[in-house]
Amino acid sequence: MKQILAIFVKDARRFWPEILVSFALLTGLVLVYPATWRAPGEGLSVARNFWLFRQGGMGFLAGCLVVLIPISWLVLIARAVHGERLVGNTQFWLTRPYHWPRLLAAKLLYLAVFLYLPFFIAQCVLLSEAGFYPFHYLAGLFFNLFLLTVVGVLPLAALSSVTSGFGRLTLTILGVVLTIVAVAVISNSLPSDVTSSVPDILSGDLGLGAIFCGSLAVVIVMYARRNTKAGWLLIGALTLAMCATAFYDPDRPLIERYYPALTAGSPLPVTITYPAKVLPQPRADENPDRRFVDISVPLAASGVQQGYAVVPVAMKVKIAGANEASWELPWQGNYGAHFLPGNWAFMGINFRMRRSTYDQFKASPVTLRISLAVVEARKSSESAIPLPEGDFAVPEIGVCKPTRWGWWSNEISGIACRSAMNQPQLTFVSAQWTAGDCNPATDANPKQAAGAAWVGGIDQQPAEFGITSVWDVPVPLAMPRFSAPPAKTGSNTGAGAVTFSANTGTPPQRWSLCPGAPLRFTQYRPARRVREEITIPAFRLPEITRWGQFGLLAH
Amino acid sequence: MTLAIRTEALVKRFGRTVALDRVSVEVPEGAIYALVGPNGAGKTTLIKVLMNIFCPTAGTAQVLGVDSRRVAADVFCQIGYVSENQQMPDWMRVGEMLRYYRTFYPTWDRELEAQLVRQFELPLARKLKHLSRGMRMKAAFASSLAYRPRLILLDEPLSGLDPLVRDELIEGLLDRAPETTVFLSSHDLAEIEGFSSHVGFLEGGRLLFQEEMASLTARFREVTVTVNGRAKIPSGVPTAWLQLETVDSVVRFVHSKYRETELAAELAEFIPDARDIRADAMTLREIFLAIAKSGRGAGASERTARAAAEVKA
Repeated sequence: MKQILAIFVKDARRFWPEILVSFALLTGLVLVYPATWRAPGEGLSVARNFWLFRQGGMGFLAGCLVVLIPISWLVLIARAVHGERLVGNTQFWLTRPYHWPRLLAAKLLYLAVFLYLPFFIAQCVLLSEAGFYPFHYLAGLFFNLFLLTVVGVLPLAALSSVTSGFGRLTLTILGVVLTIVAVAVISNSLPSDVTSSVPDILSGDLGLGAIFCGSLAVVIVMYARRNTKAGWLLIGALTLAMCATAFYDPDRPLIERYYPALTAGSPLPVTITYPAKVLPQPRADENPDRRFVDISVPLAASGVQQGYAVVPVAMKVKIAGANEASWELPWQGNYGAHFLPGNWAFMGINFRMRRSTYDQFKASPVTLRISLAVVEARKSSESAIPLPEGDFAVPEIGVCKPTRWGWWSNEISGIACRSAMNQPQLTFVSAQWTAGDCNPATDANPKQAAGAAWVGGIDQQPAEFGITSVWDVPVPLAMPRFSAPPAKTGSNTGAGAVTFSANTGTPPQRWSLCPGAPLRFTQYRPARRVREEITIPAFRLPEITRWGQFGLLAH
Repeated sequence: MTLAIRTEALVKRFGRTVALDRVSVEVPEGAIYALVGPNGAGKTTLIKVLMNIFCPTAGTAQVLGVDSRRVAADVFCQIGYVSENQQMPDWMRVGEMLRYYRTFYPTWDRELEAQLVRQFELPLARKLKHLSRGMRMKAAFASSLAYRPRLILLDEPLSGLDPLVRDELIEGLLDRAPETTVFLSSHDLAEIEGFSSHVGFLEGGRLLFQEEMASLTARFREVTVTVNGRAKIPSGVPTAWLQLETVDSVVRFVHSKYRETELAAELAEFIPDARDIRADAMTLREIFLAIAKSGRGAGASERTARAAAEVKA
């Protein structure tokens, strides 16, 4: 312990300027960031009267700090590791009785005191400033520290351990980043009919695990053996493994296991049909890369059970033509749609196929088989809140507040929320828009329209990695600002957009949320993951709409 | 005889370069062993292998009875190491460095530290980066002697220092000598001649020979013989006669197995008309030059090794 403390004190004395800068940046973030969600005059008493906090641009300053803080950590980590440089053979400490586990422990203590502890405190202060009680979020706070370790501290410590100085470390980081970017660019530029990745099943954890284990192995190899060659080999292998995921998605083969087919007798989460006469026509658009054609097939979704919501997350398409010819598009992501009980809703299936394949199947009717991986989410809680004038707490989400058109306006233009440690669990938010300025004296019987939004995600962890512990939650309540009242309510297609008739001839009108208007927050948690199959016999691939000089041209 | 250092057929390669070639060194406890050789001979590599900074490619090395590959913190507590090209914690003040190192050594002797600080006149409040080269070396010596190490390894510690500082450091070292073993490398023979008890000669990665200083200097003599008339190089002379040459009526050679009692008989056999025989003691520098030249006269370092082997035989 004596040796650990001696090394720690030595580092603290040596690197006090770097430590001070890091503290200053974190302090700056704690002062500035709350101003981005506060009205002028609110906030920390220290900052309340500071001119900067009453100006605009707080968001920009907070953004700069969010970038600068990790850089200051990079310097802290690099300086700590390079303080007892592991590469080379002339360092003063190599022939002194350093026990490597104690040296490593001293560096961990240094990071714990000068990086983790201030970060933890800053996160707690931000939570408190945002109206959260930090100790309710200890799991999230520690999970965020763990994520910081995996995605930041350990990889940087590993890279620092195999480099001899900050310059070389910077070049190495640039090299690794450029390699990954180059591989991503190459992978994206390769012609492919797969356009989006499937939802994360294993790859996220696998990636984090690989980075954690790989970086830890490098650090231990370097501290225990100072074997630079082995360290570089491990880093190279890790980088290659990360690059490999650009070409191979490990989640794709797991989709069918993770989203099993419906067993006989179990109810469909949602009934997907293709009533061709009711739905808009399918489309085929020529892709800017003329080797491909983008196909869009509208489907109808209905039959969601009361108390549930259904979210499609991935799809697979198979086309079977005449003469046993077939084409299959592997599983790929299909995001954005949410289905609730009630009226049927549209859903678009969009996929890309090679022009040659399209031409092959275009001539005659085909059987189109669509497999959908869906999550059936059960309502877990519901809160009905009359819209107040100021901040209000929403269970399971966090703290929300009405937003206004500007500092000059009293009219409420929407709501904005902030949550602790991550985006909230999947939540359906509904509201009542009112035409006009909510003044009964002006209009005693104003028009009203329903607004709705989906916020949050299906599978939430205790925390998402973030420099700040408070997350802005966008609540894009469909705002009929320059539109007419809805022609039809309750038909919720797509990502929370309430549909409005395009043009009824009514002049544009400002819509507001009136104080006291009912807000409803319905939260859903995953209950079942299944795979649904839709077969459309005798389907004809639509004619191609070509790209002309000025955009799409009809064939 | 207990050995502080022992290497056996030690090989260290860097790619295709052979830095150490089957080196077998034996350093008895209590010795002051000087490893001499030209620049690039492999002296620093050998010391770094002993300190487990480099891993041997083949062969074995033991330091204080421990395999060099296992030399770590516990062994470093008993070893003092000073090297001319070793980095130091330059951002520290001298006093701060001594205080810092104190915590690492259970045997650190505060009184000895104070004595060394006085002896070397170390400026405790000055940062190491602001010290002269001589002062830095003194600080390095003080920080490596204050815990009374059993073994002191010095890699060219005196090169480039002014004579005054050199003497001060040697004096400081000799004060500790009775309780420790010293293994130092140098390419300057004169600087180690006065105080070394053993010497080893390394060239081209090969240890040409090692010997106690007393026996080495005792068996080497520069023999000058005057003959009647013009001298001719005698034939069939013993291999122990090195650098045999004649100038007018003088025959001169270096005798590498000199024995006062046997010289007259040897001369009578090969130079029968010898008169005026002189056998002068040689400096270490002269001995090494004689060995090196007798090898190089025949060619490369390989031949030097052969010459040295003959000398040893």
